Amino acid sequence: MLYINRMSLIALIVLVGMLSMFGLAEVAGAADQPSCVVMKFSNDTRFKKTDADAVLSDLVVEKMIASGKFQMKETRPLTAETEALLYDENARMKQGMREVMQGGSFTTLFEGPGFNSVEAYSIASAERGQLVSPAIVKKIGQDHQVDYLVQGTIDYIGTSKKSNEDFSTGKMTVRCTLRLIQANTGKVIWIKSLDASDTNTSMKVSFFTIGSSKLDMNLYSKMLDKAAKKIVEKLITDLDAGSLLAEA
Amino acid sequence: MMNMLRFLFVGISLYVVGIPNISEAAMLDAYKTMVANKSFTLRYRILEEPKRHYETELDLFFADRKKETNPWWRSIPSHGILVVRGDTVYTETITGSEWRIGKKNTDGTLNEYEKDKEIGDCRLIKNGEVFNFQRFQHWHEGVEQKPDYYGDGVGYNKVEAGRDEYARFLAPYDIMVKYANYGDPTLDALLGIIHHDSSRQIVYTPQYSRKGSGTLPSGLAYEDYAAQAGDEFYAARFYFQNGKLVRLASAVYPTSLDIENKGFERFVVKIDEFSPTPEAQYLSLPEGVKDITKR
Repeated sequence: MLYINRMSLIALIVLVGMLSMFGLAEVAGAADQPSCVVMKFSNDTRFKKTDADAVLSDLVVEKMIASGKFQMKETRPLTAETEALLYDENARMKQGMREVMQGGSFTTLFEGPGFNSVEAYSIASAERGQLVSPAIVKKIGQDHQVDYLVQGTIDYIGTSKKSNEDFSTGKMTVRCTLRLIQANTGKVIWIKSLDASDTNTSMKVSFFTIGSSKLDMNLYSKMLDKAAKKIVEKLITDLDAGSLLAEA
Repeated sequence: MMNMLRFLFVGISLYVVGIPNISEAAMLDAYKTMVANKSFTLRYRILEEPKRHYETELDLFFADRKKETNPWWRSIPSHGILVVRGDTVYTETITGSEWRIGKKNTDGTLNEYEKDKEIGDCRLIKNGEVFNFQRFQHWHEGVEQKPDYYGDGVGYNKVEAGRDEYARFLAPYDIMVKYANYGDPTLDALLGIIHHDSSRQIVYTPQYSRKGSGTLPSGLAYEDYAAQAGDEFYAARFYFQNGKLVRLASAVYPTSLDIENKGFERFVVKIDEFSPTPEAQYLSLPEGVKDITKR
């Protein structure tokens, strides 16, 4: 009986030990994971009203969480002024110009974004290595307690239809860009653009038609899902290779 | 007595803190003199517009397919040369090779054919006549080849003089100043600011005045100019390195609230050379180009 108890005790200790080890490992892993907040995506296509930016944003978040490689924090709403300064490409130039018109310094205008290649016009047009409103981005990072901001852009949406006697296809393509911004500095440390498409095909067999080549919502959703999957895969590949945060 | 002392104290303080900086001779004045003397060579580069988004539905409506597949707005940067000696003027605006973003392959790399080609839009105004032609410069395996010239409306290696419609009334150089037509709108603006001469009645040219000067932490000196014309406010900063003009940044902002959101023009020009010596080789037709004008 005593022997059994001793065995049980050892087993319990081992079990507790293993559990705590896994638990600690999980905590340690979480500490290593880059903490991110996803900023509003933007849509630069003529299909602005399709909410493709919001859908892609949700899909990207979903896939980043599912990967277990990132600590994702919920995005808190920004003030209208902050959002304008981040997204409106002319906002900071207008601010500088108003200062000039009121008899102030020309420096805010001419040494700011739009007049040098170091600062991006806006968060949604920033290129790798450029700075995005460092003070604002730093505050967003502090408010959300994250190290990185993730932002994406829908750059192009296109459709095409082809048909011959037997087959008919409807294709939708999206081009999107994802960027990772270091909160502490406002620097864009990673950026990737890619195309994703999906096709509906129908085939004529005698008097019957099998399948559909319609450009429908199902095709649109699948195309965006593919885009999110591909771009998050690139993010994870670079994270695993150590190149994602290399410039941070 | 106290009032006089106070006046003197305020006057000396203002002088010491440098508020009357504006009254000092401007570094830009040397360039104004060159332009006014009609004697200079100017080599410039208009810097590429940073990436921008489509701003309004109207932009999208006018955007062609190339712009959409190339999804960012980018102005096509150009570089060029302007040589002036009296009323003889040569302008060349070069948009070619790496400057032609529209000729990029779909993967963003440069089109191999376009990479080795440069096209200059040239205009020579001499003896009241205007010659418009294009210069095609090719490179073969990195070696510069003899350029080809194409005269407007007449073909390769020949040109035919035309007359500017205003040439009957004004000297050619005055036409360029008056109508701000130096071959490129950005250059027009640059020289428009430099040339500002209130004694002339220049059509639609904002009258810039000097607003201040200083030195940036990088060591570049600058002079600021501004103007108000109609519903638009103009601001410009000229940058100098050791007294030499090296860069101009300029912005035009609509002041009317109705049109405030419709645009904000900005441009940056890098000055590679701005010297008082006109390069003579540009002031006659290029070698091998035949003038077929019937006079």
